Amino acid sequence: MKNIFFTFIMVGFISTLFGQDNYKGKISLILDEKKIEVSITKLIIRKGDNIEIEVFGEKVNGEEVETLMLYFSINGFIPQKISTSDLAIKIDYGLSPSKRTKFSLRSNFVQYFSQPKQLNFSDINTKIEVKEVNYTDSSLKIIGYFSGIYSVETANDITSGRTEIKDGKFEIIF
Amino acid sequence: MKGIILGLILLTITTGGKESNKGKVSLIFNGEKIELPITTVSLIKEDVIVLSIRAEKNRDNIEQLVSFQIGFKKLSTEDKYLEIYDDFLLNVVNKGDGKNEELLFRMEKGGAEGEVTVKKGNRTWNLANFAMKINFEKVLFENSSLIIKGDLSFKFRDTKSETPLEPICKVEKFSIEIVI
Repeated sequence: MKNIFFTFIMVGFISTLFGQDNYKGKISLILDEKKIEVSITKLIIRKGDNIEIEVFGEKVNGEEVETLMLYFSINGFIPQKISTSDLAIKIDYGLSPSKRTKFSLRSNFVQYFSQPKQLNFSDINTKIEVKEVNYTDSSLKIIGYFSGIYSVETANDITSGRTEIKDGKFEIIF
Repeated sequence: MKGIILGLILLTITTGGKESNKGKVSLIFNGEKIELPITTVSLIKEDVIVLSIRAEKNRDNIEQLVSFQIGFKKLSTEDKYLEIYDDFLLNVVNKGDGKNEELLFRMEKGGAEGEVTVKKGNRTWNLANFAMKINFEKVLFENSSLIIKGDLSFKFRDTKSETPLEPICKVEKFSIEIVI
């Protein structure tokens, strides 16, 4: 199949778009007093009935790896509060499989795992909002904040506890 | 009172059922004009930016589809060129009313690998010769929406045919207006 396209004429012009660089922004937050800050490695904007935004970030520091996924849905590039039914967050950090902390939120259900705790929450109060959207220097920038406090009490110490996301901030650059 | 309630119900149905505008594509495919609303659009930014759209209409036994994907290394007003940097795909389907025409044009990174398949009725060609023009002329941010406009054209020839200069398949006046 190589050299099959022996005639290849392409004339292209572009007047536009987003950024000059490949910088995609960053996400930061505090989970259990642990500061997490990752650079965005992949960014997806999909438009169906709403605009869906999915962001993946990662930071590797020696043997420690922090990964984060954030998904939310908005009804336009304007500041707005985001419903938790249109929200998903996954956070994973730690040195080894046995020492990793995992936080997963989807719609109104949250799971938290950090040895020895294994917590499930269904009554959550996540707050997330897009605070600012601007289009400057050929880049679309979306800035927002998020936080949440989660606690559960059961008869078992392992399945009882509390966790909190503080100072969550995303800066998405397309 | 019944009228007010009925009005409210109708308003709710109308508002709830309204699809968001994602733009449209129009093109002349082998001489026939096709205009379709975009049904899905996505932008993926990783090492490169990949734009994908799908526009389709399927009713009254007529099936029309335009699927298009293009990757950019960099999109900027300072760039006066377009580099196809990732997988490129164009699929046009026009079936029904006695027609059965399809174009599948796929090209991998750098244009080193790819394929063109054209179907017309019962005939199928695997072609090796093509010419294309791509011009993404505008990207605007208006009314809280990102708008991308471009013009494209494609011609696919069979060099082994008796009339090698006559295109087997033509996509002309292909304009894309994407609203995100």
